[in-house]
Amino acid sequence: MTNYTSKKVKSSEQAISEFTDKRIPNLEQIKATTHFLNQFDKEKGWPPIVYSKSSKLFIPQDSGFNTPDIKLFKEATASALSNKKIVKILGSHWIHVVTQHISQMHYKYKGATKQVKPFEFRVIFYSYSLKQAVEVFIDQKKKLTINANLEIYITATYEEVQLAIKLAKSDKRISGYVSKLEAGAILESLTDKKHPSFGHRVIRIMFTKTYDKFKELPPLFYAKVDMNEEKVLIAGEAPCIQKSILKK
Amino acid sequence: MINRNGNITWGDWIFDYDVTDFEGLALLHGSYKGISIFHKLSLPVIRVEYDFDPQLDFKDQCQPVNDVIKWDQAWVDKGQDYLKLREIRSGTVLEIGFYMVLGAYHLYQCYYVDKGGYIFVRLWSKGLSCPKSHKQHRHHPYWRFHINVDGGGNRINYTNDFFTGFYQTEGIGTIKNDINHHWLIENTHTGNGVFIKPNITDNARADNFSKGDFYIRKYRTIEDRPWWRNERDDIAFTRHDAIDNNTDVVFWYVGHLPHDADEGEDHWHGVGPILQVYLNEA
Repeated sequence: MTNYTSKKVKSSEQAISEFTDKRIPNLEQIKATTHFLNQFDKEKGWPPIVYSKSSKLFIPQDSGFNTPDIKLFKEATASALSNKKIVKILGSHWIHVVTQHISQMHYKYKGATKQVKPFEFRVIFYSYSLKQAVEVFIDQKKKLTINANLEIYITATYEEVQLAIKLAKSDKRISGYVSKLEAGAILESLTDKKHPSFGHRVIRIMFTKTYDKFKELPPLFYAKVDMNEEKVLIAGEAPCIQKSILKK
Repeated sequence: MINRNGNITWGDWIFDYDVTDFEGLALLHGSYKGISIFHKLSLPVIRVEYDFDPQLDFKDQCQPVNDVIKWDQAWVDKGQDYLKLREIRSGTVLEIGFYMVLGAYHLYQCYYVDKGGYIFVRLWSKGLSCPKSHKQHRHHPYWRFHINVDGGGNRINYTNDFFTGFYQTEGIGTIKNDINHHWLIENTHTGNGVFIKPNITDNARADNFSKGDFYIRKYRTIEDRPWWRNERDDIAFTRHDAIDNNTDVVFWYVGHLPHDADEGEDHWHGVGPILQVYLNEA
């Protein structure tokens, strides 16, 4: 099959050991399929739909999915929050970000036979008081390991986004213009270290016209919301708007 | 409505899918012809960088962001199918994709699963934050492939037109101007494996913002998590161990997807690698 290790080579990035190998991917099949994947039905708009003479919906099975019951997720979260040390670390202003089941990655199976360790979770919080993330690892024996003082990226949660949009829509600078627009949001860290909101979780809201399957829609209005203070920092027309609405 | 997770038997493929909370649409626990192939294929982050726009004030410049695909940002209204499962190409390919909106961007993350043992991994994007000044931005999706051929004990080979070798250490890598390159993650005991090959239309390369094209890691529970690096920080790990023929392999594949406003308002662009199962039938 393969002639292993003939000489050792040190590449610029990693140690790599050279050998001969005649196995290659099926390039003809890959080229044919790649060609097919780049042919879109533009009349159907977005999201991209590849041309296909035949197409029918596929209904997956629900029963085989290999993850614990939702009750165990709730139990893990509750377990973390019942720990006085964790509550003290989180302070007065915090959010629960996610409870992640992680032991499914350890299972072994033959074909479709699966085995899952039933209880091993990572519970992630973000403390606005600390300006840091707090993680709690819960092992199979339900022993808690707390990892605090984490200066890591935590993406905006659904609850944060909804609150940020609500605050932005009620801001007097734009409230008369955005009520019927679509709102998208993303966490965006400030770069100015002298800004009072530097180091806070700041969410940028972008308001666009309602959805169009065929056109890209640039933002018309925007706002930045400091989630630590629950305060709109700035709101107005998008900086790059082509025709001002406010000046009409 | 289709559930956010479930189990799929598709030809010789068996796997779970899950629109995760923080790692995009993931395929889990995959086997092909009864041979385990992967634990998890996921997309923890899409890093986005913008060119400096001379027509805007400094305070209005778009900053780098981390796009994270997750269930609660599905594009749910207007009757759109935000989780799509359909058979195409005369029933030979299963498309499973998830559609969401994040800021001004529309993202469609999908897998085209071919009965012949291929998975075409793809991220499609459209949307302009700032069309006024023809500025360019780049999406860099970071796919995380936890491969486990024949239940574990794998090794990673790399081949281009001039060279074949296998990695002896963890680390980041670039493919520079290599031609006809691919990786093969194989079980050296059974000879079965998975080829990972960039799509032939993916021509962009690493840059100063997204410095690598791939990252090779051993599996560690602590790294099996939502994205953790700040917006300006590339993927990085402090510890790099030796790896051998019996490694529990995690392969990060980094795509580079430029989008120029000059391309027009209706420009769909995509990026992503191809996975092909290789079965040793000797």
